[in-house]
Amino acid sequence: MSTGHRVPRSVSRRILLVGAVCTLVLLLAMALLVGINARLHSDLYAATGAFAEEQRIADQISNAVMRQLVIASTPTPRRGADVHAEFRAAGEDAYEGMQRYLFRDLSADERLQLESMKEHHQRLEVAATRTFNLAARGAVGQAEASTDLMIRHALALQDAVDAFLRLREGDLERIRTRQAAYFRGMGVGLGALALLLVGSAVLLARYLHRRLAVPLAELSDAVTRVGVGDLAARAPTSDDGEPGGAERADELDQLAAAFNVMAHRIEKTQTVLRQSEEQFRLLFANNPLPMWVYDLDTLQFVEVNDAAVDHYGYSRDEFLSMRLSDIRPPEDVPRLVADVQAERPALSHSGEWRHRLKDGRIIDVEITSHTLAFGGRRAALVVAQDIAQRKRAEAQLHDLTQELEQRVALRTTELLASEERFRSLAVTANEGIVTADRRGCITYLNPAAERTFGYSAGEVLGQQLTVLMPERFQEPHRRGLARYLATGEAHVIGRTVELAGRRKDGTEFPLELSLASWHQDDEPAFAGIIRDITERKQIEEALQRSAADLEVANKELEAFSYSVSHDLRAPLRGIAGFSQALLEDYDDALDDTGRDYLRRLVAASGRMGVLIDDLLELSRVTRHELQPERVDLSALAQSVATELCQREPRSRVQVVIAPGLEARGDASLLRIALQNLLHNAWKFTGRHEQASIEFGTTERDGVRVYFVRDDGAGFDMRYAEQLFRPFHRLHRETEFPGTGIGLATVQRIVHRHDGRLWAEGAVEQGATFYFTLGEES
Amino acid sequence: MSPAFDAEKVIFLVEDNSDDEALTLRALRRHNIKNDVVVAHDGAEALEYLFGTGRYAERDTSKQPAVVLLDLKLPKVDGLEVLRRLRADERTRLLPVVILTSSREEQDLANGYSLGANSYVRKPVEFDQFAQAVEQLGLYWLLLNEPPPRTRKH
Repeated sequence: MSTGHRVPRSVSRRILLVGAVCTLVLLLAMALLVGINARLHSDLYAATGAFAEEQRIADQISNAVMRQLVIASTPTPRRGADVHAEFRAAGEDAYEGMQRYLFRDLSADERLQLESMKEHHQRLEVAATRTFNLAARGAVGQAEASTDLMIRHALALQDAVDAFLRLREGDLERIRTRQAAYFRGMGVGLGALALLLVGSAVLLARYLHRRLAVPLAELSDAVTRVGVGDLAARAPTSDDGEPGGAERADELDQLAAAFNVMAHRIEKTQTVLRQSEEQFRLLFANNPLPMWVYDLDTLQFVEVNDAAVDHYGYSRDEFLSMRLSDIRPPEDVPRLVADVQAERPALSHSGEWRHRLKDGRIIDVEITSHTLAFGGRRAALVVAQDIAQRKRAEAQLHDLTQELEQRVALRTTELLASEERFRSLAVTANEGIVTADRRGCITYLNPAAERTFGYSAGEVLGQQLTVLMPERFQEPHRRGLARYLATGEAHVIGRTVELAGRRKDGTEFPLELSLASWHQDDEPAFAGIIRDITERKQIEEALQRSAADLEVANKELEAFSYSVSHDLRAPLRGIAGFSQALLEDYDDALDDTGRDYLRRLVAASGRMGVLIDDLLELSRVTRHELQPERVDLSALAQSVATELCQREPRSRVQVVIAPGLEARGDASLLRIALQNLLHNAWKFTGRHEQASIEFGTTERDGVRVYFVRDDGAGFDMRYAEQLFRPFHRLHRETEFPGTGIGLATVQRIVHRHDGRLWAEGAVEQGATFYFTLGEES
Repeated sequence: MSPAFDAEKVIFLVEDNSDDEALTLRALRRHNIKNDVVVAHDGAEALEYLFGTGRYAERDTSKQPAVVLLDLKLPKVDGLEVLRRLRADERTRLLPVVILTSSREEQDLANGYSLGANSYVRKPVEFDQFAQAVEQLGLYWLLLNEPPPRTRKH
């Protein structure tokens, strides 16, 4: 069995098993008893038999010896041959008895005693024979003496026999004791057997009670409860709770389980049935369409749903007291009666009827009915559908159709006008317009296209479009057209592409083509707008060339900058270095003028070094690739100011930096800009006792403006323009040293950020430098 | 300047400009840095000295200078290439190299550091600053800096 189904362990098999075990135990006990009994019995029996025989043998020996003793005691003269014979017979008897003992189960003592008996017997025989012989010869004296010996022997024999028989007596006593033990054992065995029997009976009864009677009672109880309608009642099975219960499932468990399944199914079916009934009831009661059931014979309403109550305005009770004819206009009643009486199929569409509402309005309805037996009566279920809306829709549809026809007429007129407009447009357009049919034949060529291609319209109408193309485009065009007609897959249509065209004189020119397709009389047609882009191409190429030139120029500039950076500074360093060396090493050889000249040499070369650095920075700012990110301008300004304080310490300068200013830009370039602006402020406030420098932000025309303001030397607004030109300075070198490149650098950085830089100021009243960073406000 | 200078420590200057060479030597002397200064005038010579080839085939390369002051713009083999070869060789991989140059191009800075320069110093035009820079370099590399453990000879 590979079904995996649990094979129940059968109750009957179990009972059989328990019975069999009990029986087996009983049988074994009985067999044991019988065995013991038999054994004991046979022992006893043998012993008893032997006892009787031994009694006879003993008697035989005793008698014979006694007889011999009696004969031996008879007076000598009477001893004849007959007496001797008698004596001998007795002697043989005794001997025979002794011999018979030889075959008995004797102890060593007894065997010794038997030998002694035989010896005495032998001696008696010898003495007797001599006595009898002496008596027969008549030697009475000798015979008398011999007789005494004989008697002594006979007595000794008798003693020996007695001793032997006493020994044997002991054996018999033991046998009797065993016999008594046997009877006691029998009694105990029988008692135990009786107890075992009673015990087995009780065990079996208990088992049957637990395994059969209790489950049956529970099952019966469950069946009774389900019978009286308690569908949740279940028979307990051994699966319930008990660990390992499932393995002990038997027929009763199966029966209980099967019963439980049945009860569960009944319960479920009942629930489903209830739900289904409820659903069907709801289907009727809550149906959005008015529905009712009426008696076919009396036309009385017997059931009506909410939608009907709602729609017709009668209450449910009013409905149920009315007849079907009550909701009809009186003139329709005869038709109704005829319809009801007519033979009808189970399901029928009775067509359109007029119904009267409670408020007297008449509505148009479409009726569908179904005959059925309702509570034993012939009845019909009716669905009434108000078709007022449909009627209205039909009327509207009619109106719309008419309107549409009018519009079509109007539109046709408009289209004609539109085509006229298109034509005049095409004629005056600067762009060439060419249309073609599905075969690729030219159907129209506007004047601009005639000019572009050098053909007159008449020359190319009806010809393939390929006449307007250079050779290399003709095949792709044919393939593209075929593909579009076959699959509708367009590569060019709806887009603008750059191609080349061929003029009548065979020259080629670049063109831009916008291609459109539409359906004319169910056939695809194409229109292309063509622009001669020869000029634009030339400009583009020129642009590309200048871009390349620019690239080269930039490269050269870079190389130049690198050389300036390295090579131009080396000789300067030499000039400055050796001048300094002269000053230091040959101080004694120089007069004041010579020392002054050398100092000027050192200073001049230093300035040139700064100039070179500033120029390089300006160039780097131009070449530097922008890496825009969020930059914390406040932190940047703070760090630059701290640097300035360290490099050129000054007291009484107040630097105010607005917190939290952030902008999007290149951090390294913005740092250079702030460095220049703040350094300028620092420098131009240098001659004032007290100074204040501010970095902040304001708003102009909705745009965020940053500013660096100082209250230093300021400048004349007339020269404001010159501020940002390289090498232009508004102050003398001796007044404020500088190269005149810083602000040019700032301006370039601001421009590179798409921003604007300007300055406001007045002489000795400070300057303010404003800049924007091209951010969206 | 200070007797703590280990006179055995050699400064190796790679410089093609004789003005700069003279100024550098003078600056070192003026600051009492008495260590030997070996000068190479182009990149090829610098490599020969450090690897003990060509003109310097006899040199004991287990004794390497305390610091190499390397100009970038050099004839034959330029400074960055010299640096690249030094860093590629086991013997000179850890040799302290200070780039001493006029250039302040970002590109040179980035290349110098990415090739493993220990320091990058720009030669200022002004002599005082230049002398100061040379002095500080000497002080730092000869006195303060602990040289790398001597590399094994192959």
